[in-house]
Amino acid sequence: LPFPIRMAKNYARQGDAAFAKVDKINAELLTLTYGSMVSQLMKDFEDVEEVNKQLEKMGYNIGLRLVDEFLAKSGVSRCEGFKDAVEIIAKVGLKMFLGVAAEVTNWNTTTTECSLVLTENPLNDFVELTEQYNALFYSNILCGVIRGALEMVQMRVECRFVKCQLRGDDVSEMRITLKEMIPEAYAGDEE
Amino acid sequence: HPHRPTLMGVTCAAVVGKGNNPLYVRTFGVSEDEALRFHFVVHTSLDVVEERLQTRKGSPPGVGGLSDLYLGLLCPTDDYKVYGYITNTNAKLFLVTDDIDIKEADIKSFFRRFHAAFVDFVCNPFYSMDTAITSASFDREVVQLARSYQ
Repeated sequence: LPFPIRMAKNYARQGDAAFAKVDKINAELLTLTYGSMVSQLMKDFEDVEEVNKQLEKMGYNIGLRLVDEFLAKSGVSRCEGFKDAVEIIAKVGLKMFLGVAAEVTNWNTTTTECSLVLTENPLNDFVELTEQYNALFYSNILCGVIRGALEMVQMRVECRFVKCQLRGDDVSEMRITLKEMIPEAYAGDEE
Repeated sequence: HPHRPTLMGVTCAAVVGKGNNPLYVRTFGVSEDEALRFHFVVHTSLDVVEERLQTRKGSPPGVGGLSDLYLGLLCPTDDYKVYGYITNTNAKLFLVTDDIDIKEADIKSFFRRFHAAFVDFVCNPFYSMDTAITSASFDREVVQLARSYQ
């Protein structure tokens, strides 16, 4: 079934409304704090792949906790499946927490995989990656946040960057794949 | 010496750290051999900067606003004029020009924008403070800045 345009418009409006309501901080504080964290991770681990992993792990822990806050403050009701969930993340979640919304594109035929495309990313401000950081996914924390958040609503996903503006691409793009729906454990489930 | 036209008279733009260590020296329209000469020009200008700063000892730079950061003409030689500027954190910016008609308003505005580009660059989390600036995008900014004073 084609995704109702009406619903997509609502999410964008809800995203703007949620963003307007939340407390704001200085954008440079966020950018510099995140940058300082990534550069410190590089100094501590010295290996780009390891830093990618650490960023994803940190994001995952944030995502687990963020969902309750998100659902409470954003006013969106529980999502109706993977496609709906991704639209909500792109239009409401990212807008509310990062200040920018993403486009959802490139769905596969079984609607289990798609792309989230960001044309701007405040985490990237002022950052310049030299050759030694070629394999670094600077904003990998976002992939972890998405994975953790979706896990809390019973979806196990994989999320990874496939395009990054810091690496010279025109946009930043995350590819999200639904691996399985996690069955909820029933409270009274004992023999 | 034959007068060689340069980009709008900006022959050299440089950044020197608070320890008087050169961080960035960019020349325009000169050969590599001549470029070395500008390292020397900047270096000798540092003495003049020290003198100027001595006279206002006690108060940190920037207390009086832009006029406080701009140090003015440091060294008029036969061929070039060297202008200086100090940032709030004691990094020094230099402009070397062979344009005898250059207006002070243009020099001040150059330094203001050079300072802004430096400030943005320094926010890169992967840049270690007070080390040599090798960023291609900072270099592009400075070239573009120098070009805009044609």
